[in-house]
This record gives sequence, C-alpha cells and structure tokens, in this order.
Amino acid sequence: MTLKKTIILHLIAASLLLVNTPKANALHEVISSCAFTAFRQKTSVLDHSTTVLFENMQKYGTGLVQQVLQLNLTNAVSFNGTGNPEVYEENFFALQIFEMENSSMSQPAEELSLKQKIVRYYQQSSIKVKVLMIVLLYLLLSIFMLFFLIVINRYVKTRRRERLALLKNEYQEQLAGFLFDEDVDRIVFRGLNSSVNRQVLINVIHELHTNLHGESAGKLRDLYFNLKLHEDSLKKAYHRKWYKKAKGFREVAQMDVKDANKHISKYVNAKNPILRVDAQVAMVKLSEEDPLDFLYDLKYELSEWEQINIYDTLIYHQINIESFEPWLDNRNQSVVVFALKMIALFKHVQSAPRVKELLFHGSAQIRLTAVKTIKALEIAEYKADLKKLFEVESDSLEQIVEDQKKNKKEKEADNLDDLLPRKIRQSIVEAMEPVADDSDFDFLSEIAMNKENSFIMRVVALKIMANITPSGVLQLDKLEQEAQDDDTLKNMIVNIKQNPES
Amino acid sequence: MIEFFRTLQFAIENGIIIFTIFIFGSYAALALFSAFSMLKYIRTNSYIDYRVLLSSPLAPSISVIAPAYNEGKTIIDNIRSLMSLHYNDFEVIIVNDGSSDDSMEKIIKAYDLEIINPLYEETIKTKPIRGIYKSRNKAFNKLIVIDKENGGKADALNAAINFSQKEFISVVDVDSVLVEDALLIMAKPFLEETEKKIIASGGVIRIANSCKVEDGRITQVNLPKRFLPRIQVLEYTRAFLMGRMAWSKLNGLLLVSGAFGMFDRDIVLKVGGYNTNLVGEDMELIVRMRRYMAEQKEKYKVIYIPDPLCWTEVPNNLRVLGRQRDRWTRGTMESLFMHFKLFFNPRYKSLGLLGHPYWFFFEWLAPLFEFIGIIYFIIIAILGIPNWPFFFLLLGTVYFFAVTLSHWAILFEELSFHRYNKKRDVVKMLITAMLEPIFYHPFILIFSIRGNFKYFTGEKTWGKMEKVGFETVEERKERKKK
Repeated sequence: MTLKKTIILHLIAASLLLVNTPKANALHEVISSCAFTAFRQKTSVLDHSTTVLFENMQKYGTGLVQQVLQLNLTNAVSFNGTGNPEVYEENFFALQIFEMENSSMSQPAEELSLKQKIVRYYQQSSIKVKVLMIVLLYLLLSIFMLFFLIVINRYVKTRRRERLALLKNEYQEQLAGFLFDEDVDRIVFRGLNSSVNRQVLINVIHELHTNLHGESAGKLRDLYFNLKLHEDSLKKAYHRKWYKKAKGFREVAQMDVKDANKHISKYVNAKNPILRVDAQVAMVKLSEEDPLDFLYDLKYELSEWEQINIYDTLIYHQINIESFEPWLDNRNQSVVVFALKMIALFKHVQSAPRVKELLFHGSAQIRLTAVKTIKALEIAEYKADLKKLFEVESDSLEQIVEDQKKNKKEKEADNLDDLLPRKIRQSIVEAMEPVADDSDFDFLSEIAMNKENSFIMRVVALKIMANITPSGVLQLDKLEQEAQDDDTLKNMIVNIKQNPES
Repeated sequence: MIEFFRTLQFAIENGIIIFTIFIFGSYAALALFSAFSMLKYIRTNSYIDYRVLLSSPLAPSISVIAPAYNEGKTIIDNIRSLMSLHYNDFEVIIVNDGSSDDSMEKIIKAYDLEIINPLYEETIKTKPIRGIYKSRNKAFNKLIVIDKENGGKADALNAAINFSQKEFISVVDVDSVLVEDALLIMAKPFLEETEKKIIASGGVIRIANSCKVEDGRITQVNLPKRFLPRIQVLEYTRAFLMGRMAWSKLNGLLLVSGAFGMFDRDIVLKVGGYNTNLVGEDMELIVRMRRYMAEQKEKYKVIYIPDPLCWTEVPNNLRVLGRQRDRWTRGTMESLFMHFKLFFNPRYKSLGLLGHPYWFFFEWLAPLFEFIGIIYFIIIAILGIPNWPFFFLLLGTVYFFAVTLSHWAILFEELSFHRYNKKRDVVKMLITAMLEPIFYHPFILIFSIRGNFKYFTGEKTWGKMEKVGFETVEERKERKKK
C-alpha cells in the first residue's frame, strides 16, 4: 500500500532527525534523497541509505567527517555493516575533505560559492538554526516526494481503473449472453491467467448471483466452479490478512462453497468484529443442519449489526428455523434478545409461553424485548402479566426518580437509569393496543390521569381507549369530566376525539 | 533595563519556537493516526452491503431535522432531496424558523400541506409554534413541517427534537446535498458497537461549489472554479480527512458539523438539547453530551465517518467567509470556556486530557500566538535588530510545513475517495496548496482575531450566509445560450 510505505519512510527520516547527531543528520539527508529511489525499487530504505552514505561521503560536510574520524576501523566496519576493508580508505578520504573544508573557513565570504556560504552558515549556527535548516530540507524533499507520488498514483490508478471498468463491462456482457442466450454453450473469458482479472470476474458473478434465483443462479454457480474461481475465494478465506479473509468468507457464502465450513466456524468468535459478522453470515448460509448452531457458544455480545445481517441471510436465502426457543435460555443476553426479535418477526406464536416467562427476567433489555415480542404476537391472554409488569416497573422507576431528585439537590444531572424502565412501561401500554377491550378501561384511564406519567404514554393510553368500540368515546367523555384541574388531559382528550386516527 | 528586554526577547522567541514545534508535532501525529484509521475504514467498508440495513425491520428509526430560514429560493428542491434518501424508517422534519420570505407558502403549495394538531410534549422550551403541517398526498407522508416564530437555528432544532419520537435524530443544513445512502452509512456505526454507547456521529463535509446538481443530487463533482472555494476544498480535506479522523480514533472529537450529524435522541434530551444562547451550538452540544456521559461514568464514543456524504456550498467571497470564520472562533471559545472544568481533568479521560486542551492551545490560542509573533517581528524590524537569515529560515519552515501537510491531505484524498478525478484537478490542487499560506491564511488569521475581539466585546450575531445556489440543468442551458 503506497500510503503505508510513504508513512514508514517519513517515520524513519523523522526519527533520525529527532536524534540530531551529525551521523543522524547525515543519514537523514541520505534517506531523504534516496527515499524515492528506494521506494521505486521496492528496497529497504535503510539498506539503501548505508550504501549510498559511503558512496557520497563528501556531500555531508564536517559533521559526518568528524564522526568518521572518531571511529576506529572496527567501528567503521560495523557502521558500514559490510565488513569491507575499503572503509579504511574512506576514512582517509574523509580526513582530506575535513582539511579542505576547514581551509574554506578562513576564506573571505565574498569569495565563497553559495554552497560554501550555506555550509559556513550552518557550521557557525546555533543548534536551533541547525535543526531548522534540517527540517526545512526535510520538508522540501517531502514535498518533492509527495508531489511525484500523487501525480504517479493518479496516472497509474486512472489507467488501472479505466482498464478494470472496461474489463468488467466486457465480462458483464459475456455473462448476460451466457445466462440469457440459449445458443451460447461455451464461453471464453479474456485474461483469466491474471489474478486481478479473475477477481473482477468473481465480483461480477457475485453481483449477478445476488440478484438471481433458480436456474440462472445455478448456471452462474456452475460456471464459477468450472472456471475454478472457487479456489480463488477459498485462497482468500485462508489468507492471513483479516480483510482478505472476510472477503473470502463472503464469496464462499454467496456461491455456496462448503469446503471451508470448518475453517470459517473458527471465526464466529473472532476478536475482529468485521471478520466475525462475515463468518457468522457464512455459517448461517453454509451450515447444512443447524444454521444458528454457533449462537450457543458465542463469546461476544451479538451486535445489532450482526443481528440485522443474520436476519437478512435467513430471509434472503429462505432458511427456515423451526423454533428460536432453544436460545431463550442462553447465558449471552444479546442472543436471548436476538431470539426474541426473531420470534416476533417470524410470528412464532407457539413460543409465546416461553416469551411470557421472560417478562420478569433480571435484564431490563430482555424484559423490554419480551414486551415488544408479546405485542407483535398479539396475544390477549397475557394482558394480566403485562399489567403486573407495569406495576413492577413503576415501582422501580419511582425509586430511581426519588434518587435522581436527591442527586439534583446536590446539583448532579439525572443519570440514565430511568430510561429502560420508562421504555418498558411505554412498550407495555403500546402492547395493549391490538388486544385492548372494555376490561382495560381502568388500567388505561389510570395511566392517562397520572400526571407523573410521560406525555406520550398518556396520549397512547387515551388513543387506545378511543379506539375501543363502541364505548371508547363515552369513556373519554367521562374522563374529561373527571379531569377537573388537569388542562393537559382535557386538551389531550379534545384533540383525540377530533382526530382519533392521528 | 537592557537585560530585561534581552530576557523578554529570549522568552518570546523561544516560546514561539516551542509552541511551533508542539503544533507541528501534533499535526504530524494526527496525520499519522488518520492515515492508519482511514486505511482500516476503507478496508472495512469497501464491500459492505447496505441493502441489508435498507430493508431490515430491525434498523433503527431516524428523524432527519432541517431548520430553514429564508431559504425560499431552494427549499422545494432541498426537501425533495431529503425525502428521497434511502432508508426504511425515517421522517423529514423541516422547521421554518420564522422566515420573512415566502418559504412557508411555497412549501405548503408544493407539498399540498394541511395543518394538523398533533399532541406532543415541549420537553425543551422553544419559541411559540405557529403550526405543524403534514401533506394530504400520501407520497409525502414522511414530511412534517413545523412553522414557528424566529428563535435561531438552535431553537428550531429543539422544536424538532421535541416533536420527534424516533431513536436517532439526524441534523442537516437544509441547503446541503446528502448522498442517497447517507443515513444508512451514518447509522451503521451505532449498530456495530457493543461495548460503548455511540452518542453521536459526524460526517465529512464536501464542497459543492461548481458541482453539477440535478434533482437535489450531486451528479458531477467539479473542483471549484473560483480560487476561494478551491482553497476551502483543501482546507476541508485537511480538517476532515486528517484531523477529525484521528480525533475519532482517539475518541476526542469535540465537534460534529452542524451541516450533517446524527445523535442519540435520548442523550440529547437528557442534556437538554441545544443551547440557544450561543453561536457555536453544534460544538457545545457535543461537549455537553460527552461531559454528561463521562460524569455518569458511562462508556461512550463520538465517531466520524470519512465517506463524502454531505455536500455544501462554502463562501464565495471574503466578506461572507470572514463572518463565518469569526463565528466559528466565537463558537470554539464559548464551548471551551463554558466547559473549562474539562481542561486537563483526568476524570473526563480523553475529553479532558486530550480534546479540550488541544482545542484550547491549537485551535484557540494558535492564531493569537501567531498574531503576537507578527507584532513582535514588526517591532524588532522597526528597531532594526532582526536576525534576517533566521527569520527567513523560520518563515520557510512554516510555509513548507503547511504545504507538506496539504500535500499529505491531497494524497489521502487521492488514495481514498478520489472525488476530483479530472486530469487537471490534481495539479490545480497542488498549486492551490502552494498559494494557500500566502494568499489565504493571513485572512483567516485576521478573521480569527476579529472573532476573539467580538467574543470579548460580547457580540453574539450569527452573520448572514449568502449562498449562490446550485445551478440546475435549465439554468446551465440558459447561461450557455447567453
């Protein structure tokens, strides 16, 4: 990756700058000057620079010369890193430069060349100025290098993009012909000896396969196997880099390649969440017996994104799960929540008794989801349980609000503890909507009349009452008369009577 | 006396150098962090299929809130653009904040609105609501229009937050153009995190000047023709792709742009919504939300999405740019001083130890230090005692550092989203990077100093943002004919 290499290169140069020894400064100059070359030749910058350093010693002024002079032969050899005896000659050569440059110090400034003037300014300057000069040089080289990187990258990428777009187009047309033209038996794709081209073809097939079902999808899958593209996907699935692995998982899942099931199953508990979701989706798609088997041993919390992906896979590939009840006992609470959501979405009414038991679970999140599931299943028999839960939640909310009031006296903000009990209570009232009848008037009117309840909950209770035929509106009239000093309630009732559907 | 001045000279010169080293170091470190997080983001999201979220009944619900004040010229197209966003469960709430033009009449007519009297609670106090409207046409059933008395952007947003019952609120500048998948991309991180609560996410803001817009969508991305917006492209690229990406990684983001952001509604309500007495209400809300979560000892995160999701017009002339920038300066100062308790306070972790001090020193103080440096140099130049070679050396270093940083930003853009893909665009950007420190930065410095002055003298105006408006196909044909 260009970006990574560029960063590493700069890091090496910058760290040497920070050391700020003559050797480091000299090394830095070398690194900067040969950085682009090294990058182009794909060689290590440090390997390249030590060689160039000795080849171009006279460029680096007295700083390095002094350094070299202080080194004995052994040190110099180790500095060179090659053990080359010619290094001794380099030392001698360096001494000559040192003498030559020292002699220039006595020359009058007018007689010096610009280069000599800069060298003299550098030598006579404080450490502050020296650092600035080095930084400036480094920045100039950086800009130069970045400029070329940007221009070259654009040129290379544009060409590559154009070429791949053409190839993709060509493959798409060929595949359309293959799928929809009955005369085409054999099909020859250009350039499949290149892995890049094969990936383009895999992407095109993958994309098409996502939108196809039945015979066409099968034909496409056969082609994928005949061209041995599944080997490419499997290679990716076994790749050491996580993002390649994840891509591989996707491809094998889409094209129904079951050879890597055992390998993929190891990643349903991967630390990397991206890899984990792709492995989970692949397992749902590829497992022949129990697609959600991995949920029993899930170590991490099942994120909402993972839940959405698993649900989508079940729907898209029409995978039938007989019952989600086995996961309602799971120790991982996120798995229980997921199972409850699935019971609601697939309308598994037969699981309702087990859902009812979870209404009084220790986890508020599970209680909330259980209430929502009961609402989705529209089971009138559980109204009493819901009302009982409402009371329990009200008591716990009362305690939380009491604590919050105490904290407020100490100027502390309300905590988040009340959010879930409030949501559970709201959901219970909403769950009454499809199943409410005359017997629920007392429960609902009590909610509507309690000023401590949230505005929205009171409105929902009144709306449910209004929609209970035939006596709902009469009950609202009665409540309006009882409201007396509660103007908010009166306004609510008037509004609901005018727009019962709003 | 001479000794005193020498000591003063030594302190100023060395102080400026040390500050410069720190600021350079921080920029370089942020660039590095950004590069690695960008790499990870691109690898992670390059093949994500957002279709699963689009069709899922498990996707969270979102209210898209767009306050509008005198946007009559473009409001109809803006609303259409917002309503055509790709998402399953969402509503669009337009708040007409007491416009004095014909915005409201236009909306009522175009979308066949009728007044409704919905029941909702005014959790956050706002200016009086004149009416809440919905369309008679079922095709527009996602649209809700709140007509209220003028109270400013923050007040308009609060009115919509009161009305919304969705899980997330997405705040959008009504004249911004969002890409169709913006909500899908923005919502995903909220669903992925299990260990920490995501309280807000911000998107990158791209510059739409000179871009081709059809039916409320960007159909062709062009680099701005004019110099001033083009410089801002570079500036925004640097700020978003290099700065905020890194801050997101460090969980130190203090700002989600008012042009496009998404928030957890519960937390927004817990902290009391937007503060209506400030000019920098967007930054202050994030700081307050973060502070609240830290005080509650809740694990939380503010995240940032580098995808180019939101396109907006930026000032075309220095007058408007000046107003915008001095407002930004005042907004920064408001948030920093209002929440000064955070400054190097370990209780607030990355917010107190990194985010707040960084903004304090490098966003607020940096222009002031620069200004002091310039004044100091003018004095010593008049006195005839400057060290000219050192001055030019320092000036050159600062200039080339700025140019290097811009080059890095261009490289980031090239390697990541590559939106400016015409052959000459890259050369134009590189030339702009060379010119920016000379022809643009001095103005930004002046505007920032002016913002400081206004803050301390107590001025609290927003300043009028004049927008040229996007060129439609018809307008373009008309212009070509002429």
